[in-house]
Amino acid sequence: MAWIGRIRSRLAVLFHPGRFDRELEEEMQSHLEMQVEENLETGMDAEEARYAARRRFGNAPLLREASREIWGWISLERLFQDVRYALRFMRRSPGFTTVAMLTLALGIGANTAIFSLLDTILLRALPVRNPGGLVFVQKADRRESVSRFSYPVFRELRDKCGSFSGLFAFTPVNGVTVRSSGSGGSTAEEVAMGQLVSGEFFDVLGVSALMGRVLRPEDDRVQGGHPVAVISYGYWKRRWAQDPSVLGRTLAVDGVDFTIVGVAPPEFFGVV
Amino acid sequence: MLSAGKSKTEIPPGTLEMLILKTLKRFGAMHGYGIAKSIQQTSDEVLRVEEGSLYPALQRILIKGWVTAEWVQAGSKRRMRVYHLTPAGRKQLAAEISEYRRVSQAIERVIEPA
Repeated sequence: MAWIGRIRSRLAVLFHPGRFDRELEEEMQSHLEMQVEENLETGMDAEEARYAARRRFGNAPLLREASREIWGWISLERLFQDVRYALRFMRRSPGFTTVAMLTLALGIGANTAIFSLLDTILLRALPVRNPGGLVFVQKADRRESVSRFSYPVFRELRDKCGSFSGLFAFTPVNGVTVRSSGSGGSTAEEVAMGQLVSGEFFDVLGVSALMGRVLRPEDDRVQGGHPVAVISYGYWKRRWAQDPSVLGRTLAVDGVDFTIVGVAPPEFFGVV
Repeated sequence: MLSAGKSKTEIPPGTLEMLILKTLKRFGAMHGYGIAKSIQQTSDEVLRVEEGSLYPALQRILIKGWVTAEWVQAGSKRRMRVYHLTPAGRKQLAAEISEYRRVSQAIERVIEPA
């Protein structure tokens, strides 16, 4: 644990430079005095003894600097000096300082804004169990702008894909009209975005529900059997004020009733 | 301060720390002035310790934990910083001495007439 003591003494030098200097000064002073005394004993007169000792000692401030350099803080001290100088200069010319700061603030702000946008859209991994293991399957036919598989083809692929742990289908349904009945019997109609997904969706992604349950493979076995929906956390918060009684309510999506069975976790925004 | 007739040699670079450690081992705790004098006297006035290298060297070995320093009162008005050898310093000294021997024997073999 010797290094802890070493770090502590280094920090002591950094935070109490005055004490460090004083101690070194005192040490060198006593060294000098002892030298003078010895010179006196060899028969020099006082003036000569002092002079000889001082000459022997050399450049004391330089020596102090060299001793301090050893503690490795000189560069940091110079940095502090530079910062202090910069602050003094800024105080003297407030106009220039304001313009420079505004320029920097705008520049940094614009960059940050653009980056956060790109980060959300392009860079951030999907908030799922194993984003690196996801594969998007599409047809090699480039003439279609959106790759679509028929349901029977999807079923074949799903049941026979040996290389992957699972397969799910999804399609965005943007601009659908959603009618929901809020608490107290009020109904609201709004245009929303959503995704129609197969029952394996949450299983394969490894996303579990914040509340209620997620969709299960059994949910899509019967055509038109019992449409169920999982709503996003944001929608739950905005539309239902996080009311836990939302489970079991119905959501009419383009006239088809879906029963809400769960709420997705806050970080999950679906797959895009 | 050259003493009459005798030339004094600067201590070869890298060996000063070894000499300081050895001096502390031989004579026990000492202040900087004492270390310098002692090296000078033990070497029959051949080696001269410059204050300009002594104090930086002391700081260096202090950081490395080979010595510790403490202030002791000397007389009525003077305080002196006294250095003690630590176990780590002892180990370092042994290592440096054997390394020095190895190198100087090698140099000896090179310059010795065959």
